[in-house]
Amino acid sequence: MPWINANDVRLYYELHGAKESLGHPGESLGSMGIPLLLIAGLGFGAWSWFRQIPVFSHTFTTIAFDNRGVGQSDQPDSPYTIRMMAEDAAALLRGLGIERAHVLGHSMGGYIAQELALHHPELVVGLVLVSTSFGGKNAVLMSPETATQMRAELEAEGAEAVLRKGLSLRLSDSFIAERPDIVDQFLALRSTHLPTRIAWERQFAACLGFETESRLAALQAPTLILTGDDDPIVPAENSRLLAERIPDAQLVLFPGARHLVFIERAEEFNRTVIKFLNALNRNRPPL
Amino acid sequence: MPFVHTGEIRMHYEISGEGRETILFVHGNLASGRWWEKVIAFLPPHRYHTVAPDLRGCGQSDKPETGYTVTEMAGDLRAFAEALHLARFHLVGHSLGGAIALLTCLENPRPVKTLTLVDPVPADGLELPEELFPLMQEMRRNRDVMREGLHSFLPSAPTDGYFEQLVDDCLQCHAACFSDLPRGLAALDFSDRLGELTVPTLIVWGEQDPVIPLNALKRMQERMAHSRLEIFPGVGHAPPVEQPEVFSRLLMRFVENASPDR
Repeated sequence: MPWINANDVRLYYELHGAKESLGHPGESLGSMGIPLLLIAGLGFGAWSWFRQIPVFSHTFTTIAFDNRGVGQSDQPDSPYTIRMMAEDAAALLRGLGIERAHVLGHSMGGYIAQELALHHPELVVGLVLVSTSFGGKNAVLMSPETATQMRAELEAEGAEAVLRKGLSLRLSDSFIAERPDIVDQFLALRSTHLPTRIAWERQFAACLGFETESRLAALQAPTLILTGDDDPIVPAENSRLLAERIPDAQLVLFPGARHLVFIERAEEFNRTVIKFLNALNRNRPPL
Repeated sequence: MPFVHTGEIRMHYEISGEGRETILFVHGNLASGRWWEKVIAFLPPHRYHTVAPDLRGCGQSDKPETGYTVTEMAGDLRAFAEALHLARFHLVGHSLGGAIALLTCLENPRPVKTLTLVDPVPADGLELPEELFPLMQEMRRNRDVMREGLHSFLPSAPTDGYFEQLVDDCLQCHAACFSDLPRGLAALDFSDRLGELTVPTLIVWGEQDPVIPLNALKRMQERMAHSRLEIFPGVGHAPPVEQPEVFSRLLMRFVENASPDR
């Protein structure tokens, strides 16, 4: 199984792509085109990209991994910070011999992606921030009802009925009604990859300590900001604020979509990301 | 032609269809994911999502020097299913792939909705006749002998362009597939664990299969709680290649009946 020791934790990762671009196992991946790193949100893992990997891997060598605390990665029971998780991601890339990558993060993964781009500007070519915010006191919070419902999901320890109820925070009603097949696939993946209570609390605490607002002006990477405009978990206003603060940013809103915009609007989402990243590849001569 | 890096090796696979039921196909020794091509062509893409990898040492997947045992190849399969995020799937294995599928299911039954074993290497092992091994070395060296050998295993398959591709795939397999891997099957035995299985299981056997004994499959079937055995008359070792339409109908019926949530 693919694991790598990075930043003092063992991380589970996956590499998807064309054979030539994956190198030989154990070899450096330094010689391929610019790969794409996917960073999952709170309590989610590599599995959450099940609608991206089959498409992205045709264009990019695509790396998905489990953040510390979830899935098959280590789950140290000690405080986490977003900065620390960004260092995990940087160590994963370096461990794979990757010197430059596109980075896409969802929700908490977007926090991690921001810290990664701020602290390792040489590593990040294109940045994609999905359903996320800059944290801190000016971020627009979820409603207390939404917070209560999310807490209840955790207490229920994966009971399918509760997970199903929580769907409406993440996917629009029309998508839930029209695509029961994808909803079932999502629920099956989620219920088999639920985070432990301890690790969830550790990741959650890391989110509470996150803030980049005052530093965003220093972001060098061209940035694509994507969100559903009906997201109850990270309201879309956060993406508008991010787009104002980040120097080279484009904002794309998906009308009616909720927190898991990359699942419910996968086709448009994937197309938008590929177009944005391909344009960067063209505009910049290889170093 | 996507690839995934499972940590130890890069595995090539083909996916097709966008349906709700995922079927993971595991080919046998001296073969490749291509062996499922004809069956997959008969499965409606709006109902099924099919995934067919090339195993270690076969097809376009990596061919390292070691790791050619059922245990290690079941580890490859598990890593593969995990990396493709296959949450719940129907698992179909042919010959060696049947033993790999069975062991994968015993080790981690949770994602497996149904299990279909096609002329599988039996759970209590397979002792191949000693004279087969020098013949296999000759097959490696001589394409005509290889073609003859394959034809004797699949007597009812048309010897068309597709058949020639299967011959080429055999010739490209790692050397271990002609010696250590088939030899190791004699020592295989996880028959005492068959009682653990609760997943609905279909065992298929081609009546003219020259290598897998029916009695061994009957012994397996008796020990598996939710299983049945189906025999294909006039067919050799590979019903999916020799009778793809009939096989795909049987598979669809089995999969649909075992998925009452539809």
